[in-house]
Amino acid sequence: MLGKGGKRKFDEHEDGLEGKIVSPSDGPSKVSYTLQRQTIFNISLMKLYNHRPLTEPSLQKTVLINNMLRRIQEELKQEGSLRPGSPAASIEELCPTSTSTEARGASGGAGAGAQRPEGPQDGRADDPKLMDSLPGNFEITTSTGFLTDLTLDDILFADIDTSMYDFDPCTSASGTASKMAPVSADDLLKTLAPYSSQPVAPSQPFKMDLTELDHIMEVLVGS
Amino acid sequence: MFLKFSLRSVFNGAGGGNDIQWCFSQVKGAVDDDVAEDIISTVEFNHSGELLATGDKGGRVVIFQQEQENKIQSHSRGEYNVYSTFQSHEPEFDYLKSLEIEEKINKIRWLPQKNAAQFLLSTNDKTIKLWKISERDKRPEGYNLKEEDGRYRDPTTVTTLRVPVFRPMDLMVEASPRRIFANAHTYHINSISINSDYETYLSADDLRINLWHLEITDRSFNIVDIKPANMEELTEVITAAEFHPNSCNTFVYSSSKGTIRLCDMRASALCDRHSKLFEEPEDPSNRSFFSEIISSISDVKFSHSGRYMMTRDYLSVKIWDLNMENRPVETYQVHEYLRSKLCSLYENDCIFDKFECCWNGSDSVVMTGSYNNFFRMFDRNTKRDITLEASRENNKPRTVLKPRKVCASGKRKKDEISVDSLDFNKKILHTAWHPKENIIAVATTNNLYIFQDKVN
Repeated sequence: MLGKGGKRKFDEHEDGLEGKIVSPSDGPSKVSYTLQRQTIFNISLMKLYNHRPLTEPSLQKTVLINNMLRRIQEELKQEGSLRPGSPAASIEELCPTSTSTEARGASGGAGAGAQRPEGPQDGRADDPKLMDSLPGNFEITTSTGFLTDLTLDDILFADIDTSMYDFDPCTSASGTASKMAPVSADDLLKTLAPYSSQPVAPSQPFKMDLTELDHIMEVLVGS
Repeated sequence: MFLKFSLRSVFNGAGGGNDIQWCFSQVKGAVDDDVAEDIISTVEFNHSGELLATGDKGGRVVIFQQEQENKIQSHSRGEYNVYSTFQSHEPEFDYLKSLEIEEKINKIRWLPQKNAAQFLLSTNDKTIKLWKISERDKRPEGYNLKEEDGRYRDPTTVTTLRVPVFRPMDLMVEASPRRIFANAHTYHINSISINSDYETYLSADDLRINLWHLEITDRSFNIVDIKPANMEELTEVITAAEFHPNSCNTFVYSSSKGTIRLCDMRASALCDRHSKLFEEPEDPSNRSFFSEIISSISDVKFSHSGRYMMTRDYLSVKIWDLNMENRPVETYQVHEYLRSKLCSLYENDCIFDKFECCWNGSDSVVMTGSYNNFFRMFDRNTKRDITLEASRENNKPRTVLKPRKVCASGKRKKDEISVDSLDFNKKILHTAWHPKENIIAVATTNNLYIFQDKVN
């Protein structure tokens, strides 16, 4: 994967993609900025999901990637550059509204897990592992927010149309750029709504607890 | 003892990074690169510099000892030879999360020597161990009740009394674990640091820092906790921590957002409020998607004097005066030519590499690693810098290392290397500088290089 002295095919694309960041406001360079941003968004998603190590992934790395995704999402939100209907529609299609009757409400579950009171940490000989199962959760709950079931499908089922999330940055020069419509945070929210019994407020978008995720995985893998 | 060294020894002050001619001295490790367990993960000289410890991915610690100077052959400082090897940590399994706990040694820190034995702390992601390394060069012989091979004699055959005497034997170096400090870290330990009181030490993971007493293993005090109540609000982690070398109530910790916090343990039991916050404002002309990631600090080290601290982020080394919080007093670019490659480096994960940095004994030169097995030194006085390579090609002892240069763009001169030819698999993350002499230890993936300055 790493270039051992040889030229890497990404080089050709690099010059357009790297270099100083262009202001998003000027005309033609806005496309290049958007392209750059979309590529980085895709790479970030891939990083969170393609990587299933035997050991716990680095929390620092996960946090940095999540921050990157959040920043991009904030920008997208502010720009409001979404084509209403189409991305959300494809997502609905891929992820049928199967019920999750046994799943607890999203905000309730995650909230309780995160806010379990923690006493002072003297005498930590008693098991801190029980005290905090969140490191694993952190990776799953926050990143599933960005993931959505759509991207899980990308990885698990190759025959599903993934043109909207074309991960190959090298071919994204011109033709596929139009297909990579950025999906706004609001659309992602709509996909999560069927899976929670409580309405999910826009300000707390991605609370999905482990049980729900398990259920969703079951649905996707079992079907 | 120092008077015997050449005039270019560190205490003279003239030994800057570039007045020195660095020579290859030794290389340790296998020639082929493929054994994952041999990947060196930490390198540390002890307080006298006589011992050099390395930890590896397989949980082993190897200690080298400098042989005492041969008075006749004073053309080089003593060589480092293997003194002790032991398995410090074993892989474990966390059944709750269904994940392995790596045995990789993240850090080794030596205690100052108090008696004949040596002590060091070694840590993996979860557990810290105090090891005692002691020499045995005598053994009792002539037992009354035992045969030489250890079997007990039939008591009825014992007719005389004799007392065992100690007789010399071949030197044996034994390592034994004296304390195991476990179950105090939910997240991965990135740093350990021994306090100047030599009784306590801190251990830091991604979200918390704990204070321990070296004698007590069943209890530690949490002194920093940045875990948010709701983990989804987590945007910053602790990346490194260190005690001040002289002030036993002061420590610093760095973060993934490029900040350093100095804390005073006298202020409160939980040091969540810093005494000082060191942060440089972002340079708007250099803003990119990767600004935050490259600002993440991978290492923080106090100067020996305690007046300065050095931080390493992805592209630079910064020296901070503890009295000035708003910007560093010195900044050195390690490999600025990578700034235009950040997207690729993000894609291949190199942007997350954690480079360490170190000071020389007199705090006049700092050193850090880079890619392609290059490492860099910056002389704070002359403001000159040098790039050297750790490679087996220059492996004749006392061969002076040739300075390297990376060509960022444009015409490549002879002997320069273009950025695109750099091997990003060959990274030097760990380097160490002898506390008193101009001897450095540089770790490539699984080899340890020792370089010395040219004597005579």
